[in-house]
Amino acid sequence: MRTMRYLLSLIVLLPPAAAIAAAPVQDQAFFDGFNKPGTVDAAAPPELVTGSRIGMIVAALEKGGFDVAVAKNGDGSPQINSTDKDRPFALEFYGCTSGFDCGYVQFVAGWDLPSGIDAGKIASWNSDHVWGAATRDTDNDPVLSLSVNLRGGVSQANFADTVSLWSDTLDDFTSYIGWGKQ
Amino acid sequence: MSIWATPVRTAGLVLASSLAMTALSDVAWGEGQKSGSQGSNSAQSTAPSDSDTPPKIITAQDVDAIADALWFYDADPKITKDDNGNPMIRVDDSKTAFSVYFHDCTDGKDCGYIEFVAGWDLKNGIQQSTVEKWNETKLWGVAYRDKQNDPWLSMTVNLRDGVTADNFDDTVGWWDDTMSDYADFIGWKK
Repeated sequence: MRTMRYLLSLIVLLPPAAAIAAAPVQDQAFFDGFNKPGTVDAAAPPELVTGSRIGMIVAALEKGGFDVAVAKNGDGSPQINSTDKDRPFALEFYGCTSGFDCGYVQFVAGWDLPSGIDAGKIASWNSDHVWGAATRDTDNDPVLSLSVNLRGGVSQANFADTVSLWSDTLDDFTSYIGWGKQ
Repeated sequence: MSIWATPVRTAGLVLASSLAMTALSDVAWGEGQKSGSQGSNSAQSTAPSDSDTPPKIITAQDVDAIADALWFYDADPKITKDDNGNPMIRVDDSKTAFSVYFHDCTDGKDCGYIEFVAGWDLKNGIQQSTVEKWNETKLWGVAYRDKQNDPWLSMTVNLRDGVTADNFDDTVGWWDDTMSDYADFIGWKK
């Protein structure tokens, strides 16, 4: 049975699984625990989405049709995972200071194909599409990512639109690589 | 060698390669560009937000504001239109050349997304494996090659419904630094 995985997460971006704390209760108080912004993000009005406002990010993902869970990495930084087994992905946080005040997020998903994917097909995605960066892992399996700048704040409508773009791009890429047709 | 910033893509489609490429002969990259460290120019053009003052919001409808955020280059950004009638901004200064394309527009207006695009004309092009390495390891900028195997870099930004000016200035800083990093990565000789 084919499986889907977060290749970049496994190889480059994530600490060992053991470093991720057991899932705590996913309530507002838990989300607020990540909300220790630096000077720039602290100045963003409360209605804006920043990398410190995890509850707003979770709400946008859920409103966009995803089921998600938040984990805390070993350095204290958040990581959001889609728990939908048919559309798994991770939302990684970057530009953090000691696990807080993260400025950037990256959606990332990977697929385990029986024979990997041709380099030319990955290259064609990157030259032909505006959204999403396509790469391959060491097994030549496809990986898709989308980086988003939240430093200083974006409107909730803007982030909701970004979630929608990710959702559409995820579906497009899934079809592009022939997932489910092997 | 030259560096260019020519339209090669629209949202999802490669344009004909016959699009004119405006090459800048013998252009050299300047050390450090203008922004210093990543995102460090973000605070220079916009005062920090005051809690009592709503922050300035940037959308892709604000073509002038987007051009203004590119103030730190030697040459003034030029606002034009692309072949589809959408806004387009070009920056051609002594060290840098790139374009900003507007996507998801309606009749050339109400655009939602912008895309920074730059290309480099190398004598022997670049290996696909080098381009792949960039995409595998970098957070910002998507690398690809054209039909001559020359390297390109793009970064798409969602401005639909607005981001703060602080956020956009930070994004511009990332684009500038990413261009500089990519030029080094592909072996562009200053």
